[in-house]
Amino acid sequence: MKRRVRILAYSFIFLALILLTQRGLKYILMDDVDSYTRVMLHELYHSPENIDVLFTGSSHCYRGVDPRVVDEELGVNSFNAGSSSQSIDGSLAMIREAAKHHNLKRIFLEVEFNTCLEIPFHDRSQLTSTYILTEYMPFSPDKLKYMLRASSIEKYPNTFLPLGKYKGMTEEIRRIPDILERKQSEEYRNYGYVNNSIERYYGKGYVGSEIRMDGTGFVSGEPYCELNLHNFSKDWRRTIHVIGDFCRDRGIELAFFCAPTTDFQLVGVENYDEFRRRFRELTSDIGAEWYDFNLCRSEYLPLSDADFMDDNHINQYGAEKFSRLLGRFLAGGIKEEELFYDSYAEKREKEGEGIFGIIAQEDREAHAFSLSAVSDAPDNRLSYEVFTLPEGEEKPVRCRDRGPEQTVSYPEGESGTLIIDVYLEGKEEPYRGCTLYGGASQESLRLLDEDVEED
Amino acid sequence: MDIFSVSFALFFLTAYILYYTLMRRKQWVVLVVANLVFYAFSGWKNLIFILITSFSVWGGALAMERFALKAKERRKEPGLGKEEKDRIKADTLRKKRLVLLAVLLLNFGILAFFKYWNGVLKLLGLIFNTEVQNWTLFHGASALLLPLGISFYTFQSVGYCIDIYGGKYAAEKNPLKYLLFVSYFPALIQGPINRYDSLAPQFQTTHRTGFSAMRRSLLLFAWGAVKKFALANLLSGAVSLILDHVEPETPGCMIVTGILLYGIQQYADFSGGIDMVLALSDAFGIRMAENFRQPYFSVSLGDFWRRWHISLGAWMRDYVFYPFALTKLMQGLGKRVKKRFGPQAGSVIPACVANILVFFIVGIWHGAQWHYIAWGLYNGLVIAAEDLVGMRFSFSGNSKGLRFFRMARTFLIVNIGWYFDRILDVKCEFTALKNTLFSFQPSAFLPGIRELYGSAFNEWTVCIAAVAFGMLLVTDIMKECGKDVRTVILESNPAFRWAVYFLIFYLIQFGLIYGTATEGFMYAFF
Repeated sequence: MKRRVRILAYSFIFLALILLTQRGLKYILMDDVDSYTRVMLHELYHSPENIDVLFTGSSHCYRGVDPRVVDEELGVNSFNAGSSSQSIDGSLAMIREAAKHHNLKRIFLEVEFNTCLEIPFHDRSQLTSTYILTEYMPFSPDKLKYMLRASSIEKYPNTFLPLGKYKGMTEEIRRIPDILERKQSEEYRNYGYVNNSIERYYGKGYVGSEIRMDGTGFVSGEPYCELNLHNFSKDWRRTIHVIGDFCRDRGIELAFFCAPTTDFQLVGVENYDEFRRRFRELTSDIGAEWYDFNLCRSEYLPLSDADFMDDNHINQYGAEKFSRLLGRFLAGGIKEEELFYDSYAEKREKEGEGIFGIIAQEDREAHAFSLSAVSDAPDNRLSYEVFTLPEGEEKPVRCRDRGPEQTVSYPEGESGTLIIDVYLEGKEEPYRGCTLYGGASQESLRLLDEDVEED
Repeated sequence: MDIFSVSFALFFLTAYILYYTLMRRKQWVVLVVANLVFYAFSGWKNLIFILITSFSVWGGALAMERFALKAKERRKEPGLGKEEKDRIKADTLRKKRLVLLAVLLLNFGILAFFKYWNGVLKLLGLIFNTEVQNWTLFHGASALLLPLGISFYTFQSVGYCIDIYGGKYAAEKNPLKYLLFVSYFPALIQGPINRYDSLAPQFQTTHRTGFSAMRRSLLLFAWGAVKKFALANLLSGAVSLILDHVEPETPGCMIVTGILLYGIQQYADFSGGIDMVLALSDAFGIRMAENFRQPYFSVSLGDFWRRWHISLGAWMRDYVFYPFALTKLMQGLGKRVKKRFGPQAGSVIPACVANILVFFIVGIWHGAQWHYIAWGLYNGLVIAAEDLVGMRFSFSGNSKGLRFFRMARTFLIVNIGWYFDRILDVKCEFTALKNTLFSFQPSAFLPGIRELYGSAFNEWTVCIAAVAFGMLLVTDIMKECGKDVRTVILESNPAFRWAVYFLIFYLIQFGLIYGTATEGFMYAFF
């Protein structure tokens, strides 16, 4: 008996020491000095004012909705609890956490097709989006439930051990002193707002970027795939209903919304309206409104390439426009039927033809590109003109005269920036997109402020 | 089911608890069920093949034993003359041979089909210059995957069948108990190739466990995991980058680096995996065959093969080498050589021929690829050459210097063999050997390493692998000096013991964090 007690005691001490050393090592090795989520969760838990309205969802949410602007229009205290690739169970966890600390009146859950059409939780191989939330949540039965359901049991060691969640946590040993120094700084300890070269945390969960896409245009090396509507997993459906029940039980008004993305993406996926129809079917019994700002009339939300930081996230200029409109709309300043088209097809039909981006597929062996414009105009009304700007050169060189052919070759052994102008019949101004060719480095992408002059 | 996974841990714990509690009186039943569950997880359709092997060998062995018993009884009958007795004996032997042949053909046929079918298709494709998979006859045939452990359980079963044929021990009467021997799950992952007479008695015994036994098993399992995850997996990226693309301009110094790393990777991977499965089996109180005995301390290539993959070497010795050496053909050869070159040559030369055959088979067993055949032949030829040279020149004495010289020589010979084993294209193998000898370019070493930095390794992987390698070296030296490392650790003072536990725990965890290799055990695919 005595021996058994001793063995148990030793086992307990061993486990405790493992956990203790794990914590210590995590502090030394985990580089979260630039984590927005850490700061966001701290604010959520320690906000002195009650949060009335909660926005939550993926990066489209935290980059799209600036609660400071919404508050001005709506006259309430709102908060953005979005996080990177936040899946539906992550949203449920965030809603539960927020509801524990605040008397929420309205919740706006951002829905985006990539997070809706996710694989079943059991099959997830990457759990970073889960860990960036659980890392900063205090322990509770809700958190435990979230961690247990987020994956198959195979991932539990990563989920529950403090160390080892992030592969390549700190690749360079020599960075450890720098990480430690930054972690001991006042700014880190006081949850100072994170500001890196790309984005900045502005408070209340909003992250804004100054990057604009009007210089390079939208150019992708691969076409978008049609959305696979069978991928609304059972887990997703079950969880969205749990969120609906949770809100109903607490008297919280729930609504879904889509933050605006680019027409490049929406036209590219081809079946966005089918996605909308299927989403509505699956959520109709929850009784929540759904506001899809991709269907917004452009007179209310005039977004151009300059309002985006990439092909699916708005930048801080776009976010300012969108948040203001959202605030006004939620305050009742604009009627729903005035603001939205009934479908994306209707929007495209009413707003006129356009070019929204370019798919440029490179064949490095053949030194050629295959081009196709993402547009709602027929192909026979499009023409392409292409220039190259070789690395180290100042002047662009005409590579292909304007014409309907969709292939273009570049000189063997050369690399640089490819400038593609796509013309829509009847319009003088082309859509310009830039991409790299011949294996040029990302840093060598050069944008042209002025028109390319002919030689 | 990966043996280093949560689902395996749950499966194992369930079996372990049942084995020592509720089912203590029928422990073998727990193991049979556990084997089938484990096997079904690797692909339930493959169960059919292991069942065919089990029941065909069980039935065949039983039939052979009955023939022998019947013959014994008939020969005891009164009034039989010598001629009649000889006829019964010859008749029985013929029947037994037929059964043995049928069992061998069936089981080696299944094994050969799975191992070499893809190679046959490739060969046909080369001959007819087309994609044979497109032929209706072969449609989808290229998708063949080896059923888990097929080589290991086939070799175990065939060994058993030959032993029964030779009357070495009694055949198993209970088909389920025989199935337990064939499908014993710790041996299915990557061996060892067990012998029935050593394993079966252990299955019949009731085992007990305790904290000390558990601790010993756990320590061995964790040590195996250190070798696999903190050493082998961390080296695999660098080995692949260097040896997967040997070009005429690849400097010899980089090739040598790749080969040396491969030697460590392979040893750590295979012996690590074996340690893990031996530990699992130990937990059930079942001791499986030893598979490694500090091979890099060998003093000759023959010695190396008695220390590396021991159970395969022993199997080849007992079921290929001796039977072949005892054939009339080889005995005739021995006599002729003896007459011409003397008695020593009369025994050495047939052994040389048998060794070349054995290693040719070992090469083929590794896979139907030319580089494996080249590797097998290289080993067979070197061992034959060692034996021939040994006839004329033998180093006497047992000084440390001589032993070290022999170890260094063997190390060199073994590593040359790895060129044939690891570099998949025979032409590239010779390019690599040529560059090692004539284009070593030591000045290209640092730039080469710098090129690998980032993609194949980083500061962490170097530190983790260096510590794990240091530990491997120390433990092998201790074992070579006759020390039981586990006993040394478990009987040391608590501070040292716990320090070792923590070191092992963190080496595994950091190996998993920073390792990039996702493949399983190297020998699981043989």
